Amino acid sequence: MGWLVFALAMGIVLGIAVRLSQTVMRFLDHSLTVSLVVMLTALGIEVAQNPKFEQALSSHGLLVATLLISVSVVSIAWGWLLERGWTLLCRVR
Amino acid sequence: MSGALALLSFAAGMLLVRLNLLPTLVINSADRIGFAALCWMVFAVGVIVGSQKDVWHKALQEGWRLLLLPVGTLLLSALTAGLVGKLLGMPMTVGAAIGSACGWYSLSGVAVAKVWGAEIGLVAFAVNFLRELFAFCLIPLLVRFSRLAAIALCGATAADTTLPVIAKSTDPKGALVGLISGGLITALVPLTVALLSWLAK
Repeated sequence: MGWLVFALAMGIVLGIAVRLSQTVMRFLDHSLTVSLVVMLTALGIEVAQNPKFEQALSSHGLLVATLLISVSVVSIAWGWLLERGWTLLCRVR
Repeated sequence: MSGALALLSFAAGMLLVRLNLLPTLVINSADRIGFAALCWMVFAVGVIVGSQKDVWHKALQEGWRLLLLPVGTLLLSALTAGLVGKLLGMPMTVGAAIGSACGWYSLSGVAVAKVWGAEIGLVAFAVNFLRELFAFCLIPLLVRFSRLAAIALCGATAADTTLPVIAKSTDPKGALVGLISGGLITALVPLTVALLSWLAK
C-alpha cells in the first residue's frame, strides 16, 4: 500500500509541476491499457496457483454467488440513485 | 479498455498456468510483476489527474455526494450481505463482515478466517475477489449510464486496482472521485470488520 500511495503522490506532483506534451499524455494513456493487461494476467496466474479460490467456489458456490450478486446490485443501485437523485434535485431547483 | 479484455487477460493468466506454458521464474514472480504494473498505472493516473488544473475544483463540486458515496456503499454492502447471509443460515455479523470488505479480498479473507474460521474466510475471499473481477468487466458498461454506480461497485478497489479502469472509462474528474471514494472505504473497512468481529464475540 505504501508504494502505491508513493506512486500516486509522485504522479500527481509531476502532473501539477511539469507541463507534459500531448505525446507523453497519449503514451501514459496507452500504457494504462498495456499495464492493465499485464496486471490482470499476473492476477490470473496467481489465482491459478492458489487452491483457495476453487475450493471456496466448489464447496460454497451458491452462498458466494448470492452474496456477490446482492452486494453488487445494491452498490450499483446506490451509486445510480445518488447520481440520478442529485440530477433530479438540481432540475427541481 | 473493455470489460471483455479484462476478463480475457485474467483467463489467459489462468490458462497459461494450467497448460504449463510459463517458465517457473515468471510464475514465481507473477505477484511482483502484477504489483509493478499496478504501481505504474497508479503513477500514470496521478500524472493525468495532476495535469488537469480544474479537476480538483470540479470534484469538490460533488459536495456531500463525495462522502455519501463511500459511506453508503460500505453500509449498504454490509447490511445487504448481513441480511442475505441470515436468509442463507449464517449469523448476520458474518455476512456483514464479508460484505463490508467492499472488494478488499486480501484483508477480508484473513480477517474473517481469524474470527469465524477458515471456511468462512474462503467465502469472504471469493466474494470480494469476484467483486473486483466483476468491477473490471462492468465499469466500461456501467459508466454509460452512471459513473457513480461504477465507482460504488468498485468499493475499496477504486483507490488502487480498478482506479486505472475508472480513469480510462471516464475522465480525470471521475478518477479523482473514485480515488477519494476508494480511499475512504479503504480507511473504513478494517474498522468495520474489527467492529463486526467484536460484536460477534
